[in-house]
Amino acid sequence: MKTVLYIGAAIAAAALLALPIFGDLGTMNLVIKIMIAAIFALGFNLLWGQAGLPSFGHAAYYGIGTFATIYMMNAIDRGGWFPTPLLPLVGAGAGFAFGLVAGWFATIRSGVYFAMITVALAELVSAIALKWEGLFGGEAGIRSIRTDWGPFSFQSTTSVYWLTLIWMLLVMAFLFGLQRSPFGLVVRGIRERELRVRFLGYDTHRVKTLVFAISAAVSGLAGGLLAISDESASMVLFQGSGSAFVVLNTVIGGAGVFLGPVIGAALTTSFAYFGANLSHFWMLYLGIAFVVTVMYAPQGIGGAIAQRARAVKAGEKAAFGTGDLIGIVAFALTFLGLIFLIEITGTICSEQYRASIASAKGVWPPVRLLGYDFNPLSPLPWLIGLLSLGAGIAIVVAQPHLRRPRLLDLVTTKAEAGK
Amino acid sequence: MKSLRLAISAAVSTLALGIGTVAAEPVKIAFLTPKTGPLAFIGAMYDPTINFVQQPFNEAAGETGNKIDITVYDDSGTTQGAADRFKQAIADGARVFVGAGTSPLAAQNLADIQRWNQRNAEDPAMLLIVGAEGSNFIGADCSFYSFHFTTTPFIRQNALAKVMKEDGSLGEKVYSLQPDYTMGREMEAATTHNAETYGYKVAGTTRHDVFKIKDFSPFIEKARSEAPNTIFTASSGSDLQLILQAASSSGLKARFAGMFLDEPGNLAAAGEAALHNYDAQIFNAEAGGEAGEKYRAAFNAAAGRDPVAFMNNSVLTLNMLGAAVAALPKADKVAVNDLVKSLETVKVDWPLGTLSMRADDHQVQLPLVISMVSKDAKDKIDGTDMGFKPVKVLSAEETSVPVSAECKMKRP
Amino acid sequence: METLLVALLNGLIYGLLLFMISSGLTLIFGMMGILNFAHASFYMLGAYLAFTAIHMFGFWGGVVFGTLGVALIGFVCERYLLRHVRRFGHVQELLLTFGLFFAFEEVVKLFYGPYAVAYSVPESLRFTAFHIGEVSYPFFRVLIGLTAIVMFAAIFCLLRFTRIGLVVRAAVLNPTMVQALGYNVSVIFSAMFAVGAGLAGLAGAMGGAYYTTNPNMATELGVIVFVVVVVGGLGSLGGALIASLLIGVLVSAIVYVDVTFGQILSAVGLVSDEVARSTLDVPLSSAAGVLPFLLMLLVLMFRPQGIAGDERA
Repeated sequence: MKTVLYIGAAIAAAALLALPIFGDLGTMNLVIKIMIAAIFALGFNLLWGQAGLPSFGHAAYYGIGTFATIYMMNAIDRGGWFPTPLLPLVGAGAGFAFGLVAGWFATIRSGVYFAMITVALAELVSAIALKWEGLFGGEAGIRSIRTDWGPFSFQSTTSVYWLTLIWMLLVMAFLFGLQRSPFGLVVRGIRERELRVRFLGYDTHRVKTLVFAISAAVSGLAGGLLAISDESASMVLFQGSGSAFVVLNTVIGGAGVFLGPVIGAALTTSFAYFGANLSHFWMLYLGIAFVVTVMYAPQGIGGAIAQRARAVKAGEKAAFGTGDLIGIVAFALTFLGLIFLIEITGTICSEQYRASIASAKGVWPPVRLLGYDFNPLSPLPWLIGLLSLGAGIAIVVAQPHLRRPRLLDLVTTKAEAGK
Repeated sequence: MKSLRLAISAAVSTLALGIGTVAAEPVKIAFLTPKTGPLAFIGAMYDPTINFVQQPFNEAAGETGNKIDITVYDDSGTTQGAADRFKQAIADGARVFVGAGTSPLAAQNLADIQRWNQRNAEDPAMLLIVGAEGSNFIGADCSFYSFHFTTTPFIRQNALAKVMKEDGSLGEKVYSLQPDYTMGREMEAATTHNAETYGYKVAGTTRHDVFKIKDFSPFIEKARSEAPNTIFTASSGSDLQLILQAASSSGLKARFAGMFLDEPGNLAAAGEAALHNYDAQIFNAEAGGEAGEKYRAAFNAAAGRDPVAFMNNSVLTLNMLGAAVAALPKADKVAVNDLVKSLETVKVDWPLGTLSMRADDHQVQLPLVISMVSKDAKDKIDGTDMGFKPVKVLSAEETSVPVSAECKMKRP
Repeated sequence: METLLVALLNGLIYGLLLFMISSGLTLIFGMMGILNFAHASFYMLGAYLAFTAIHMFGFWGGVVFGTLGVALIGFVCERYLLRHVRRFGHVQELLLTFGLFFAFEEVVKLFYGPYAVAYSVPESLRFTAFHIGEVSYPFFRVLIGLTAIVMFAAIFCLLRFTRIGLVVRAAVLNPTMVQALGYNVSVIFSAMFAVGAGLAGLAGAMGGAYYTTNPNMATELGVIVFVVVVVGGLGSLGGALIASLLIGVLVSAIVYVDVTFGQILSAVGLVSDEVARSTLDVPLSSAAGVLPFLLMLLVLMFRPQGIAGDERA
């Protein structure tokens, strides 16, 4: 199992190293955004996964990091001495300072009440950013430019890519170390039973405040990298969707696994990047995917993979069995059915479609889907959609009760032999 | 995939035309707009305008003229999305950008363009701002590579006050109820600034949080206590609908004068409450005579609704861009610098008058229609029995305001 | 005097509408411990369903359809979705409703498009109830207020004085015992969730007609509903009523206050007059939208159980 992990890591590393050679500007930017989202989600998960504190207002610290960094970039542009590669630390510092104050207030309470305080704080910051034009630049936002530092040029996207990659690895190492440290143990102790940790002599409020501040600092660092990449900051950053997306990323990826948030960030960011060009309804697919993850993989995708890896290691399950194949088929069927139903409904409900009916004198023009034309008035596309969706769900529901052939489970023996 | 298809079509056309002629590349235009997320209604507004202009233009260009190729990129309403889509479009080879979103999105587009041009002076990109009304785009942020195809709150307030003064509906007491962000603040400043010119007194000013207030009755009652004749507002969307409803159901007698009343859905949602209020419109078919009606009918056939609000900005932007492209001799690759200069000089016919671009600050010079919501209007909107009855058309010269002192354009 | 009266009345009615929406949320939390992020979506769905049915059944038919339709949607959500994740704890339930919130908004856009729809109060109900000075007070506002009051009375009596109410309250305190006594607790929970959702649906059907019906209405209202419930005390119906009225009146009254933040701070002596007039020249009235959040922060700091909540914090 270890070897699989090493091979996987090697492939990922090779891909990340080779990307600047093969990737075009768009792909490279996508990977930069994935890494930024991953850092943000990792910072968020320190609070959520490790300390068990659900924050629904983390966009505030992300945005503050972005603005602080932009101000520093402008200072450098005017002749400041600060080295460009260390700029994310400015974001981290601002996030930390703000997180210390906000965290002190928020961690007085726990659970739902904690969540509500974070929401309220985020709303306040967002309102202030909207009103205080002098500092946050109003609707136009604030612009800056990357400045070269010594022999290093930071004008190209490739340079931003390397900078982001290095920072992501640093943050990962830091958070991983933190998780392994005695401090990390205390934090998890608070998550499991705060009273007991307090009886051991720890000031839990202080610990929680510190965790909050570190989480905010990492979020601010992600914001700082965003400032470097996009060279601008706008009050739009403070709006609720930022806070929502980091929760989505973390939950889909899995809060219980260290790399879970990274997986989630990679999936949703790529999905948003490609999905938006393919369908107007990508947010609906994302919402459905989130609901399905919460229901069927409550520990997230990363959690499910880790669980499976443990089971394989213990020899309880095959690395890939018939069950997985059935699962994939069921997933594909469900997804196909959803695509049919959603796209056709969305198209015929749209204003433009009604206009084309009118201009075609009452004839419903065909709906183009997956490269084929379908007549929305014929039962065919609806049947495909419903049957496919129904079959997919039926398989999922029936699967635990099925006696499946052990055809593919041969892999077990191979895995066993390889161990 | 796209490049493959292009390559095939290029190959096919080369074969069809015989050996020797190389098909010229169309001018690639990236149309950045929110199509998903909470701002999706903006993208939906612009959606039908693109093919409406592109198709006839390319047909007219035939074999002798330059063609255009507009691709829509969804920025999902966030500045991050806008930055991402910009880079994607650059990678796809586009150098002409249409920024069709809110002011923050357009500001992000502008920042991206400026950075790109700073780093790639030999391969510059240009931006056409469709719907962002911020005055910074023709003020402190004006640039050789960006063009502003809509008005500013100042231009609209000025036009509204001018016409309402003439027809006697302005009154002596004016109130300003604004959304609390840049645009509202600019409208408030315009309202105060123009008080002397049009002989009214600003009885009071209030700002409200954007899209957070459900019940506007307190704001209406506060306005009522000053007994204004006219209330200027830059509010839009559900804020505007709620303001109108609150005012009408409590029997407030003041008129509203706004700039976004004709956005889709507003009349339907506000209902009768919208009646008798004034709006500064980019286009009104009734005011445009025969040409206006022709344009309205053609647009309706394509989009299923009459062209209202910023849809017109998009159409006129693309029309002017098209004319600028057509004015250039057919080339394998149209240079952006040439296109910028061509756009500065181009004149385009528009049902309400001629459109031109002021070279000093790249602000479009466009006529405005001041209209009143009425049941007598010729064209009814949104499936209601109401529409916009034109009061007066102001020519481009009349709506024009001087170039801002803050605009210091650097020409290459 | 008249202005004050109208302001107060406006605040109260708005507060009552808030109560209509948030009562279901607080009920569901009190009974089942679920903090339902999708609750404001039920409000939106109520408005859209009513709008859809209005052509067939008329306005009141639409309102009934909206209420029952949303109650059914609520039932389905509880029975087929939420129940599956209950064993993973309340946070998982909260996440599920968070996903539903996303999905519902997109589903509405799928069917009705991104613009506001023409759902408004019918002509027959558009008349003035009474006059205060020159202010004509619309009947429909009064109707919204009355509906909320009737609703509160009905739920209160149901829970307090009937056998069903007794069983429900017992099921909340000790579900195992109630189950052992032969009651079907899961049915009780599903029904409660449906009722809570239905109440939001009713509020949506009424409020959507009076205010606006657009795909962003859930987002616009989403957080404020939570504020009401937290300030009132999670799970407390009476607390939610008081908090709604308080927030309604406060938001309505603040608009009349002609004081800037700078003036307040300089009066306390924190900043100079100069700063107060320049950078901090932000009128308090423009903060009507954020005021509830400030209130919630204060409550959470000093009285986390809210006005009338129990000691769960």
